[in-house]
Amino acid sequence: MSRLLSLLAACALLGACSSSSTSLHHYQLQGANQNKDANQQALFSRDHLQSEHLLRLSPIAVRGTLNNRAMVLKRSEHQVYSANYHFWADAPAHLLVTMAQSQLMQQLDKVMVVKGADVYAEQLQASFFQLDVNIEQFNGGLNNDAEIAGTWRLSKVDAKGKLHVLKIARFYHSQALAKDGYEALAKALSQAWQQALTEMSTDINALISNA
Amino acid sequence: MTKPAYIQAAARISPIWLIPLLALFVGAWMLLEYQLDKGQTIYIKMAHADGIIAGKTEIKVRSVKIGTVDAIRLANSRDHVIVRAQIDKHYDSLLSEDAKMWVVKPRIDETGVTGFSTLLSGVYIEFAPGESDKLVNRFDLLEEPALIGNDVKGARYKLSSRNAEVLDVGTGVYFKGYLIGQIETAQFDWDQQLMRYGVFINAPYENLVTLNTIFWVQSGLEVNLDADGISIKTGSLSKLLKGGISLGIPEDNSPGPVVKEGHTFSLSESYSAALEQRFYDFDHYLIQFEQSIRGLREGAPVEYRGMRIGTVEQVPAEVLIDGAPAHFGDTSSAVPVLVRIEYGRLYRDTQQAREYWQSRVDGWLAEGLRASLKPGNLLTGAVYVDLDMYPDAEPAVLTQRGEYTVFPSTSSGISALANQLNDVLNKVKNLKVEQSLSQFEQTMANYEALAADMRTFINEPATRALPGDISKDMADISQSMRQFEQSMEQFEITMASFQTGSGMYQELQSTLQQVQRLMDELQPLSRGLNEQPNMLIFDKELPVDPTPRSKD
Repeated sequence: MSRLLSLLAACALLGACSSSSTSLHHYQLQGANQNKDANQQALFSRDHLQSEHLLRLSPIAVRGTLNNRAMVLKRSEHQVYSANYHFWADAPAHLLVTMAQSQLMQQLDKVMVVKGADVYAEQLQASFFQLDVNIEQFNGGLNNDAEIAGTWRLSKVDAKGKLHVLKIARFYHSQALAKDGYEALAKALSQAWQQALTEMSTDINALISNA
Repeated sequence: MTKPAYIQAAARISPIWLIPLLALFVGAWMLLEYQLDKGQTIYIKMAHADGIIAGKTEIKVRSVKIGTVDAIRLANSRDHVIVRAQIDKHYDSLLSEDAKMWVVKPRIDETGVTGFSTLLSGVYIEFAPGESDKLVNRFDLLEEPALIGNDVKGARYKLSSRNAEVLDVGTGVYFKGYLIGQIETAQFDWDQQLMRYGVFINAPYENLVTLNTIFWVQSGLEVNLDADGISIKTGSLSKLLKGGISLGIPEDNSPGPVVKEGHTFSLSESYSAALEQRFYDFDHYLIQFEQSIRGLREGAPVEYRGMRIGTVEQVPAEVLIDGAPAHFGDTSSAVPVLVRIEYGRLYRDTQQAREYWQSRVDGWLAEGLRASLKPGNLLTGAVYVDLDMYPDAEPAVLTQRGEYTVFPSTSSGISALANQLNDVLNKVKNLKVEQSLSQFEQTMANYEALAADMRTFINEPATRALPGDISKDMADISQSMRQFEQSMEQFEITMASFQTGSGMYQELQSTLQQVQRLMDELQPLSRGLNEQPNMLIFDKELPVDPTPRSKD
């Protein structure tokens, strides 16, 4: 009997040592029509024969704490909070630029959108357009919403690599959370970013046509 | 009554002696076995035995152990070390007289880091077997690793260089940017004052080395400022850092037959110099200029109406005429310049060109062919030697001065104008207008002389050619600037290829992203440790995140 009691006591002690760890959660951005069906997929592909223009999407600059993988909530006008257990699946700058490429490709007819350093004017001996985006807000807001804000700049790079700025504009979009929780925040941020991209693509389309 | 004692003689040798006999036999057998198994003993001469340990340091061929160092001793002369090593029996046949040995130890040089593993294991001796059938047991240790293994196929050539920069052993030899060989030996010949290189060209690229091949030092950045203007050539960044030798065939030349191994070539300091130095069939001429030769440099072109036919070799010509330097002659104030008329520039078949030149030069001189100095580049003040027809020139023929043939010259261009102007001003100075009216007639005569001089001056072909010269110079300047601009654009492109998108850039970018990801993942932990330093020991957790709320 005493042997059984001592065994139980040992089990109890070992059990006390083990911790109840809180699990980590990872989220990603998702465009509205992304990866849905074959027709939509076709909108994301483009070859050089269909493309009249080339748009180079520069790496998106996301400021300070916002570019950490921890999701960010605004606590007051001047304070933000980085989550301990809720993370983006990749650096926000990468998630944003990936979604931007697919959305812009979908919304800009006859424009081939390429990311990062894939284009060199000197080697192509041709001009292209360049989009630079700067993100200043990418967080849960104070009004039960998700906020995204920043600036974008469209430039034309000539065959010699010289850059001519065509437009600089600010953007701000807010999207109310559909329900409580971080997943809803990730979804709301995706929608807000999509709205920003839609607005941007309208302007870019006009600028490229007139350039 | 006692029994009589029975005495039996004992055996003479005790059986116990069999044991030492057996031991002796076993010992002898082991010794014989050892001797039979033992391989060749070799002796290696080396400057010092740094890192080599008797009984431990191994001798390897392609990382396979073939023997071990078993003794190290200082030579009787005390200026080197003799290392004795035992080679395993199976490998005796490797000890050919042309085998090479060197110590493998950590080395850092332009080709990278080698021998890093010997940091922990200790140094070893690398053995590169040769091809000779003659076996030896004494070897000299190489200070540096053998660059070319005995089993590498290719051909060896010699290069001699008088002006090019000194290159290291191991520097690459390139053909159109592709590495095809390297410098194997480099030696300064103090007697001839030139560098002698031995280069090894890997098979099958020895077929590229033909009679008309030129070799030049590819320094990566070549800036040339001469009478033809400014030219800048850039290569890749690695060549900019490491340099190298390039070889090639001049554009307008045929390659010619493939040369035999051991052929000697000249190594030039640049491609343009290599192009200039390939005309081996020439004749020297001495040209005596009755004017300043300021701006004329060695290597300046000798042209006939814009076509290059030779090169200026010595300015001024350091020739002795009757034991005195020709450029400080007692009887003549002319400055001699030594030029080469290079027949390869006149026509591809140099023999034909030589015969043509020599048969016609006297006739051309009679028609007025003269040498003169012309400004080549106003920016640098460089001048060149120009041969042209001056029908009004005084008759002249080729003369002999010392060992050289003298080519007649004439003053022309700016110096001729300056001389004419000087004459005119002297005449003006000589006019004494303030003297009495009785000298009026004389003054008028002077004026007439002045007018005549002015007329000659204006009618002088050089005066008429002046606007042409100026426009040529302006065209030269603008061409130089255009060349400079093009060169800078090319340089920008070269630098760009080492920036965005290059392999190194991508690798760096990927590493930085990985570091960034790691930092992101460690951030909550570091923040938690900041807030609760004992969280790891007491299994504390970070505070639970506030939940983002919807309006509903």
